[in-house]
Amino acid sequence: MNPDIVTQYLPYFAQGALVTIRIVFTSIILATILGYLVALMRRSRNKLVSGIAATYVWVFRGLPLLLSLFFFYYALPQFGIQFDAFTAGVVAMTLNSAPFFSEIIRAGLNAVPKGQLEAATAIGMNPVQVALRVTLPQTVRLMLPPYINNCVIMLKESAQVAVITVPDLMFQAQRAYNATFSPLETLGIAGIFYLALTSIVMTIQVVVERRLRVHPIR
Amino acid sequence: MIEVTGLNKSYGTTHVLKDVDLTVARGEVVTIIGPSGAGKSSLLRCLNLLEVPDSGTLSIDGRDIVYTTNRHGRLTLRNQFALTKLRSDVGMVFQGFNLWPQHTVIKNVMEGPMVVKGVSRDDAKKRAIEILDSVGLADKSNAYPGDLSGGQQQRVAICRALAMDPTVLLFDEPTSALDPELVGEVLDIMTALATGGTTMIVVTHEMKFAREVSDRVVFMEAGRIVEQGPPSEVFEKERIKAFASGLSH
Repeated sequence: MNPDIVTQYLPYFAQGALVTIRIVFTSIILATILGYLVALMRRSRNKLVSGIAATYVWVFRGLPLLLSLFFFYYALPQFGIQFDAFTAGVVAMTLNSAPFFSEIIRAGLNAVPKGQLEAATAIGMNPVQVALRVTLPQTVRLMLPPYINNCVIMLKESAQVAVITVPDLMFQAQRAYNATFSPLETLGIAGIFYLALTSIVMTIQVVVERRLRVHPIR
Repeated sequence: MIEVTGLNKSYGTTHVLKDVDLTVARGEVVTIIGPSGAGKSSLLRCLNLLEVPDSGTLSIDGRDIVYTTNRHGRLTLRNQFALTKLRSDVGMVFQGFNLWPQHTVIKNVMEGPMVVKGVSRDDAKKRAIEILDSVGLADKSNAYPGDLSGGQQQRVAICRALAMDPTVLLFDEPTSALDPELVGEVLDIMTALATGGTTMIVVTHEMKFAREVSDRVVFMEAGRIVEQGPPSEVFEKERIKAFASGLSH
């Protein structure tokens, strides 16, 4: 273990970690919104709308992230669409993760008993109030564990954006390794960074789950 | 106070309500009885548009209720917003209680007034405590629905409806999901409400309640109102005698 290498490259790791956080956070937000829309589309009675959503889920759930990354970064320019590496990374991660979020959200939406929605409607709530006051609080409780799980997976998967030259944590680690050939001081430190980031996400899960205690109805 | 004329409702090819007319006066307690599948619940659920009639007119408290459906037979979004005022005036108690499990008992009662009527938290809380106290559940205020017995849950559900100060209360088989020993506590509250002058429409299989508490009994069969009148008269008819004795055996 050579502490000089660690101190020399630590600023780069910190920079890389910030890029990782940015790309993952952006992708999670966008994938959640897209996943929610897809979940709503799949519940639609319109066959075309639900068909489009189902096809999208089928395709992007089944393709590797690496393939999407290559496609959006290397293939699209041939069709005249040029993304910078960060944007291509966000687009690929969003499109690849949204199907999983949509399945999680769909399961949550289906799980709210119809009677509770009727009770809210009968008392005079409008559809927006029903969604915010009854559906959302209950689906959030149900969806939280699989949702956070998926966020952790995205955080880890984001290391793949290094191959399309996004200067994230993995990218910096690889560069440092190539320059020094000291795996422990470079890849090892990157591993600690990743573990720290995923630990933060999992801690958030524990805290939120504790605050939203579920009270099952008899 | 409630006037229904020519109400029709079908599910697919099943015609569940056939030209139903019903008038309910202010302060009247009407029980709707009849065999399963007669359309009792459907009729009740049409009164606050939880089910959308295919045709027929509906007026509550002197106001005609206008409803329009989309091609899936559901209310249009604009209608769903427009009907909230009517629904806040019409309280409903369900067979399955349908309390919101994420809220405590008192929050369940406060939710409607606060969200729908914009009542302040303090006022809603004061009123909720009063109402819960009147049904003997003040000590359960901070319990969750899941911790209560079925009878207690249904009493909370009645409180939730009462908190909106409705002009009429609809009961959809309120005791059918309860263990026999818990039926009494719910019927007691309903009887108290009835004698207190609340306008009530009750779909029930409790013949004793229909006979002793209601001002008028409506007997439905195969989507039609077959008999109606004061319980003393209706329960003398041969068809109703046969139906009622079938229930008690």
